[in-house]
Amino acid sequence: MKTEVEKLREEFRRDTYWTRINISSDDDSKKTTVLVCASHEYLWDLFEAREIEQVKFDVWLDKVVKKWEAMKEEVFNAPVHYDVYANTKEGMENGDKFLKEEVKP
Amino acid sequence: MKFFIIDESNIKKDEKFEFFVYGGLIVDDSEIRVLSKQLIDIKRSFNIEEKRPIKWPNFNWDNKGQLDPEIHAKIKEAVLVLVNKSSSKIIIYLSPHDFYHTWNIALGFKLKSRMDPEKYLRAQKYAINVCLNKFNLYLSELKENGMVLADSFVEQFNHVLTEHCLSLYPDGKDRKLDKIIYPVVQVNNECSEIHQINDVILGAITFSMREMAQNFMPIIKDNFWGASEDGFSTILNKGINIYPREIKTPQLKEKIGKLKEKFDRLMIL
Repeated sequence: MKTEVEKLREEFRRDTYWTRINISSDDDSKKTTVLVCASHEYLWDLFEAREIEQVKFDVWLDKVVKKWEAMKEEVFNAPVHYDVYANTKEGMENGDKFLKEEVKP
Repeated sequence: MKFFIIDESNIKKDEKFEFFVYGGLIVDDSEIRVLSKQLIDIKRSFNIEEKRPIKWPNFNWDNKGQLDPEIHAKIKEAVLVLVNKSSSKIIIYLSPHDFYHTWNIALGFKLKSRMDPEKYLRAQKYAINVCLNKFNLYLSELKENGMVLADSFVEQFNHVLTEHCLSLYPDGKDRKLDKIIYPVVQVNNECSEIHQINDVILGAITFSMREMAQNFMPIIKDNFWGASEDGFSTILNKGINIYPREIKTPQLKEKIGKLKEKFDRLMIL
C-alpha cells in the first residue's frame, strides 16, 4: 500500500485546516482519496495550544494517516472518504459540507 | 444625523456559539432610504415579493414557504455587500450565555439551562448601556447627533427597560448620553428594510463565529467602528465590545480569550 499526503492547507474562510491523503495499492490497481479537515478550535484544544507553534500538525496528521492505513483493503471500498475533526456536532456538519462542496477529491 | 438600529441575536443557549449578541448598524439619515431601496432592488432581481422580509434565517413567511436556500444565501450575501459599500458602521456587544442563563435539573435529572428572568434583565441593561455609550462616543468623534431605534423590548420587561433607558439620558439621573436624541424608540421591525438589513448583519456575525462555518466577516469587517488595517485590535472596545470586562473565573477567561482570538482570525482576509 502506498500513501501520499498532500501539504496541509489553511482555509481562512472556514477557519479550518485540510488536506488530501491519496492511498493506492502496490500495483496501482486500486486508489482512494481521503479528504480530511479539522477546525482551528479542535486542533488548538487537542494540543492545549495558545500559539500556532504549540500545535503539532504532523503528529495529528500522522495519526489520521495511520487510522486509514489500518483499514487495509477495506479503504478501497469507496473512491473518496471524508474525515472531519471538530469539537461540536455543528462543526462536524460544517466540515463535512466544506469537504463535499468546496474541496475537490 | 445617525440612526443606530439595535436588536438582539443568538439568545438561545446552545453549543454553536455561546454568546449573546446585541447592537447593530449605524446608518446616516441620508443613506437609510438608499439602503432600503437597494434591498428592494435585490428582492426584485430575485423575483421576491417586496413585502417579504429578508432575515438571516430562512423562514416560512405568510404561509408561502421558505425561499430557495440558494437564492436566500445569494440575497444575504448581496445585503452584506451593499452594507460594505455604504458608510454604515457596526457596533455590537457580546456577553456569554451563562450571563443570563441558570442551570437547573429538569425532569429525569438531566442538567438543563433555562433563561433566568433576573439575569436576562441584567444582561439586557448591560447590553443597552454598552451600545448606547459606544454610540454616544462615536457621535462625539463625529460631532453629530443620533437616535436609537430598538426592536420592541420583551413585554414582561418593557416597563423596567424603558425606565432604564430614560435614566441614561440628559434629563435622567446619570446624564451621560448627550449626543443621543431622547428616547430609545421601540419599533416592531418586521416591515422595515433597514431592520431587515440589520438582522442579516447580526446573523452573519453570529454565524461566522460558529465552528467551521462560512466566514462572512471579511465582507463587513471594514464597517465595524474602529476598523483599520491593523485588524481586530482597533475594533475591540469600539465596534466589538465583549463583556464582562473584569473576568472572575478561569473558565470564563478562557472562553472570552478564545472569542477574541476567533474574531482576530476571521478579520484577517
